[in-house]
Amino acid sequence: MAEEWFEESFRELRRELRRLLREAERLFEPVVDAERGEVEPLYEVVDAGDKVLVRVDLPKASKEAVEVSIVGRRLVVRASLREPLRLCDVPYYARCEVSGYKLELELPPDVDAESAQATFRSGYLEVTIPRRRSFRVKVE
Amino acid sequence: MRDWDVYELREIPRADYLIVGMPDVGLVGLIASTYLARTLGAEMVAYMDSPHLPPVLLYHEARPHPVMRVHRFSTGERSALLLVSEVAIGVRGIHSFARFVVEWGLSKGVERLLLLGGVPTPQRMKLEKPAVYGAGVTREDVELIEKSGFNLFREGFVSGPYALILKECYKRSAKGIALLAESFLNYPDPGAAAAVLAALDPLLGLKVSVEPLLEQEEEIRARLRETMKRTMEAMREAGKAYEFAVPAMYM
Repeated sequence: MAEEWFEESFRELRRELRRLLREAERLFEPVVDAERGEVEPLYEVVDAGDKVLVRVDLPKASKEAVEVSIVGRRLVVRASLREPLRLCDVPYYARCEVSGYKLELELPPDVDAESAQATFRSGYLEVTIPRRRSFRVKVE
Repeated sequence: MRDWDVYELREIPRADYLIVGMPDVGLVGLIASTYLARTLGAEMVAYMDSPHLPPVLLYHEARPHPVMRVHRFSTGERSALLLVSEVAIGVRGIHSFARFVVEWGLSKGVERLLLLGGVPTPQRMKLEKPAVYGAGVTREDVELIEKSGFNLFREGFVSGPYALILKECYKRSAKGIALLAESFLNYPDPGAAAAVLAALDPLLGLKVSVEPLLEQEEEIRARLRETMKRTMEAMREAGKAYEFAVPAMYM
């Protein structure tokens, strides 16, 4: 029993490390998908104990144009801009017209996706996803 | 080439203040200093260069545009040099940069260094008007902060290039104040930049209209996303996370 618990905890730790590594690698990925005209927004994931907060900066998007969905453990945020944005000051992207945001994130394994809530204010989106509660099993 | 060089484009008269705006928390310093230089039409009088700066050459209006520029302006009886840096300096360059900036400023006869920046707060999203804190070096700085009505930064950490500039001032008993507005850590924050600019009024007698800055807030946030991302990497390297740590003196 103790061995199983240890192995499961170890597997969990490895899954979490893989997720963190993937997140770290994202720092070096290009931020504009030129083909789709989508840009990855700035975001942060905050571990707030009994919940996980995902904060996303979505300037020039309106509340009605923001879509948040959770499929399995993937959080997807999409939002279209009120007007297309030209990144002419960055020559590499000079010919790209950005029309929306897209963010895909892998969430920690213990979140309760169905209880997630989101608020949007002044172009900032905050998604609150509670963690599943652990409960004590009575040993007979 | 030395660690840091300054190229003066004309003779620079003595100035009362050296104002520094670096990309840092919420890009507050960069946004505030760029807006200030543009709004006042402040002439570029010098630029700084170093092997510690990224190998990039900006172009503006078909001419090379140094990434670390010094402008000069006057407000009635007061004059100021304004250092605007478009890029964050890596951790290997910030010690020599801090020494260089303080030495150069003092050589220009400046009475006080003013550093424009942000102090991250997790509650920023709920704040309509961010508060401004003043972190001073000398007794006169603390008196000026209190007289000007800012919150005195009493306990906590300043980290990154501003920490080292303040430390250089401290070593030389030079006057220096960091004006830090409550801001987002990792999103460009024009609202916090506007709060810092408003705080210049009691110090410099400089009323800067921040309405145009606030009107363009979302545009600025959208355009500075890439700069914020690069700045975050430099901040991580420079130990910005220390600002959230509990200092040993509280234990």
